[in-house]
Amino acid sequence: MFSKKFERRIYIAVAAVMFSGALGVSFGAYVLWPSRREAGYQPVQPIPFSHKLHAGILQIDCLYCHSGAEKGPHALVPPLSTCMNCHAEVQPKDSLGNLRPGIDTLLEHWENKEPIRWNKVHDVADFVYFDHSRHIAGEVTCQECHGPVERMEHVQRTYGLKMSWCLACHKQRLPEGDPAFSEGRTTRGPIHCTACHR
Amino acid sequence: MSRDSAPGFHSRESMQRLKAEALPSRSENLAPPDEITRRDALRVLMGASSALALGLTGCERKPRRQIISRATGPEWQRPGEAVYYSSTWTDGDFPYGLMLKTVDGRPIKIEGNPDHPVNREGSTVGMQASVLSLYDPDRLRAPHDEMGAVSWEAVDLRVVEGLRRASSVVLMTRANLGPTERALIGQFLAVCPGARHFVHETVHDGTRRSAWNMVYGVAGEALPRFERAGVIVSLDSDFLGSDGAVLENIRSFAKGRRLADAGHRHAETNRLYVVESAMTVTGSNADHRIRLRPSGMGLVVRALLRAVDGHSEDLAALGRVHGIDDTLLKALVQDLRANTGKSLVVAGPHLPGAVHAGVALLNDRLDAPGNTLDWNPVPAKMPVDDPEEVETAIDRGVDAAIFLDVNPVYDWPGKDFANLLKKIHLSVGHGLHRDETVAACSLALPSSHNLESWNDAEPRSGIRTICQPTIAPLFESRQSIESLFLWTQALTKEGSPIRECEDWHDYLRIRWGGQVVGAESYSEQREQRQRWEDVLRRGGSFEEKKAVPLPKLKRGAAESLSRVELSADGYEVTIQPHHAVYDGRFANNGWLQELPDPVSKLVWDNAASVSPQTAQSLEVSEGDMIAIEVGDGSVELPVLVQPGMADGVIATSLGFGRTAGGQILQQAGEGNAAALLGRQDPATPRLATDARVTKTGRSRKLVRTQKQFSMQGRPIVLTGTLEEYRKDAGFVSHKRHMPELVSMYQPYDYSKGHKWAIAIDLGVCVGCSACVIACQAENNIPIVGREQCAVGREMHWMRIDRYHDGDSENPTVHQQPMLCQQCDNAPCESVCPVNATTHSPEGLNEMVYNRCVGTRYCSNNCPYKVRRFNFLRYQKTQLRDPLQELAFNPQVTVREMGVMEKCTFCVQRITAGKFRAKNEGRALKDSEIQTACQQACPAQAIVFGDLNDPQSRIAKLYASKRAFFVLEEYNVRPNVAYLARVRNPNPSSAENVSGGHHG
Repeated sequence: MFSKKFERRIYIAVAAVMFSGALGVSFGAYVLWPSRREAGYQPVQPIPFSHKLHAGILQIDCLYCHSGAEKGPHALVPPLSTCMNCHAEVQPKDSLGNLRPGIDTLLEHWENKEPIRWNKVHDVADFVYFDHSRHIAGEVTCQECHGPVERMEHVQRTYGLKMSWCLACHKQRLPEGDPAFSEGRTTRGPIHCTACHR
Repeated sequence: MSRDSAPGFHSRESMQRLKAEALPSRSENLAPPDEITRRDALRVLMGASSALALGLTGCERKPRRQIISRATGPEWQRPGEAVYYSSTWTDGDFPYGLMLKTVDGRPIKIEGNPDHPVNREGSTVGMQASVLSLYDPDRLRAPHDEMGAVSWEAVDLRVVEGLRRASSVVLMTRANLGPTERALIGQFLAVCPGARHFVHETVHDGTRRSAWNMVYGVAGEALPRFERAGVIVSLDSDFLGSDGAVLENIRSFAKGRRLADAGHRHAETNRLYVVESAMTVTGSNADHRIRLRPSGMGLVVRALLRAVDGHSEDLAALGRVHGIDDTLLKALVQDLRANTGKSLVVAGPHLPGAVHAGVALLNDRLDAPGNTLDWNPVPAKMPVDDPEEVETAIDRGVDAAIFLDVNPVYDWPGKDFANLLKKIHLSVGHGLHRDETVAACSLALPSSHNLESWNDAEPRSGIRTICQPTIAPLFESRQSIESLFLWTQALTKEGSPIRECEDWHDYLRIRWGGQVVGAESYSEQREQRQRWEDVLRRGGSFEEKKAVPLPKLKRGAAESLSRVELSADGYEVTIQPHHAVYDGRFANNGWLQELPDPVSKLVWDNAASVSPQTAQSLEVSEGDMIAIEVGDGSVELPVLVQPGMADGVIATSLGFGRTAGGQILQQAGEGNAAALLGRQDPATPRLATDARVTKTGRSRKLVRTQKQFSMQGRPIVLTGTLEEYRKDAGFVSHKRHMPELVSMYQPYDYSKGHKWAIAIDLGVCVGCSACVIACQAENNIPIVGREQCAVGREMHWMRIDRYHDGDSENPTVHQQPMLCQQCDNAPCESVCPVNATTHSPEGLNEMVYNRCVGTRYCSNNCPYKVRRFNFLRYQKTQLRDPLQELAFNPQVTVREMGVMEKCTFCVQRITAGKFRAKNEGRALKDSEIQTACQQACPAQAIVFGDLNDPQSRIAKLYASKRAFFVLEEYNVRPNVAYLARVRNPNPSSAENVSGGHHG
């Protein structure tokens, strides 16, 4: 139907379209890959709270504010009353008159007894039943999942919190003679479905 | 926050997982690496395609969410953790103690209060479902008058003004009132001189109590002690289903049925003879069951009474008149005589006084008082007033009427109550819903729910329980008794003690001695506060008091009363409370409407149950409508053919035909049996002996969840007699044929860790179905509605299978709770193409909703048919209001359309228990983890535990010689063991194991 030359052009054109299409799809997949996209997630918070200052420089224990972590499933973002334990004294301006950002917002909320709406940084799907207390009791450090929070000015997600990532740790072999062996487990965490999903 | 799943969540998560698993470094723990299984091949294929698909599905973004911290956090409450409160269930027919689980301040699950001496941990279906009614969107949300919504202040002004001016006032309440409520009503009557208090209830034992009053000379009630009885005779008394404190009855009856293998040669259980007109839960558990019309009950009592004294002529006469096999009756008499002091006769509350007088004489003759019968001078329910008295009072002219949580317009056993209401100038209706009565009143006031209320109860002397709110009222509602309190207070003169109380709670506290009075010293105040807090923590004060002995029987009175003859001219009708919706007050509760009736397995409907022979003579079959007329009352009901009914008897339930008060009840069946109450003889309102029945020609399809009641000769429920058991505790092994079991799968190694299992003792399970609702509440199981049930799509993870055996007219009944058997060689697992149902190292067959794509292969391959499929978005159709989401258990995923689900052995409870033990650095204790069904079971028939712990209760039950598995020959190796039921028929009538013959 078409001339030989023209036919070849069609082949080339089709090949080019297919190639660029494939390239586009792979690029899209690369960019939109959830774990890649979700690691590094760093929403803007209503108060520019610095973990670097509180946990890093001032060395406040994580559990001072996130008091639920060793007791129950949720680590908890502290109630304002916890902030006020210090910030009743630590005022918006230091002795030299330098402004400490965000404290005035905190005091305003406290005055009105209005809770602060923090943006959730670390969020797993609803069908994952994660329990902080089990991990703390199992001597998993906070940083293993949350990254070096004490060095972060604003908290950012270090890991994608995907199932494969959870399993990478859960599947680690236990050293010989570990007490958990007696329960018939050979890995660091359980790896059956209902351990996390129900 | 509910665990609601975002649409399309499976796709993304399963793609993720598959991608991850397609990598060669897959876990070595699950399968030998050098074998390529079908699943491996599938995995690679799916992994490859998922990589492609990800480009498209990966774009979906998770909604950004916020954490809203509190301004000040309460010290004792941590988000996501349960807090338990003890309280009392004041809504139902008996004030049982309850233990309420709240998460994040919202009540989500009700259990029995383990400290409560009457019900212990057991709970009824009504109690379990009460939490759903709390979040019912159809509840009345604000006070209304004729014009529309009004404020409580305006209501109070109007009512107090109306009461001040009124010369005649009617106050109508339920019978189940606590001591403080009774005291307040006394005060109200004192300050409102024209007022009269009437108790209205359609389900009551007034006939029986007035008979007792006559023969014992004092008011009160006889308390049967089934655990001490060797021979129990029930005359139309459904004591395991609806008569009396059912939870206590089941527990004590089960105590007399429980068997241990040790000493099986001398094993003893009680023996239950049931003479009844309708097939009931009690009759289903009988060792001997005799079908008899209610009008014949008086004859039976008198014949037995004479026969126990050695004159057995009447028995033969009885046999002739009612066609009862008299050898069985003679055996029964022998049994009673041999067990003097250990036998007990009970009669149903609907039967006439003559029967109760005869039963009192018989019990006295058998030396039951003090042995198997105690006395309760102050019953939990107040005596019910004569409806005629109320009608006369209203006819004479009433200025104001107050209805507290009663619904006479719907269920008044007399004149048309709506017409009577029109004569009243100010009518005040207080109710949870805008029901028939509240809608007809000039003021419609919303009542608070049981779980939002302060109250108390005194079910027995020495047992006083408290009811405390566990959530602030969700709406602008007020507890009905609090309204009465405020009105009483306003009517009382300045300076009287009631004026000192701030509110009803204060009033209650003073009566409990928990009031802190300023004049006393600090330490006394502290002591008082401590005592009050102790009461709140325990749920009341439970003093062990010595049993009150039965008053002396007045023989003369009893004998003359027992001789009153009952005429029987036509069809006989008995009207019982419905197993789930009771007298209709729970009609807007979907869980209860969808709970299969334990006997007929009927859902969402009321029916007229008749025997197969009666159906034949009426020329009707199932679903045909018949009109039943008693006196001037009539009702039209569909026929349900129920084997085991006495011929010529029609049994029906109250609670249907509601017309107002919500959307759920609109789906339920019509036919209000209350129209027949008291039409023949107001003294026996729930019994009629000369009913006329006609076929109407119309029909209605009845929805039953089980229609096939035969085991088809297969060994599904294994039973034996006590004789057999004494000879050989392992009699079950002779009752089934076991082929050699081979498996194509490699067995799992369960020798380490836990191995979960359940054992169910069929010998003590009575089939009350509390477990079914407990499971529904715990596991967020949806209601599907009548239409979906009709096509077999009900979602209950647990069901009670019922099998009939023997005589087709009067079958022996076997019940079997059926749930996922968590098979070791699970047939469902091998057919799932997406690995959504897998095996845990602890022996559980896991269901992963976010992997399921809904092929339903697993359900098809399950021999027990315990898997349930979400054909539609049941949770979405059920949820009409975001409020209802609060009832969800946050520990369990809410399933989407297209997902398979099934019993998980309450894996959320297992996980919570394991976490608790591990965090505390200790081993799990036996019985520390309870499944929801186990916890609710009043008979304690269900035991859950770890088979790898040789000291556990479950391991001992598995070692029992009565243990068997259902469909064992398939070699699926279930993890639910059933203990064979051991019946105890009278050996001297062994050829009549299935009871008497009829006609």
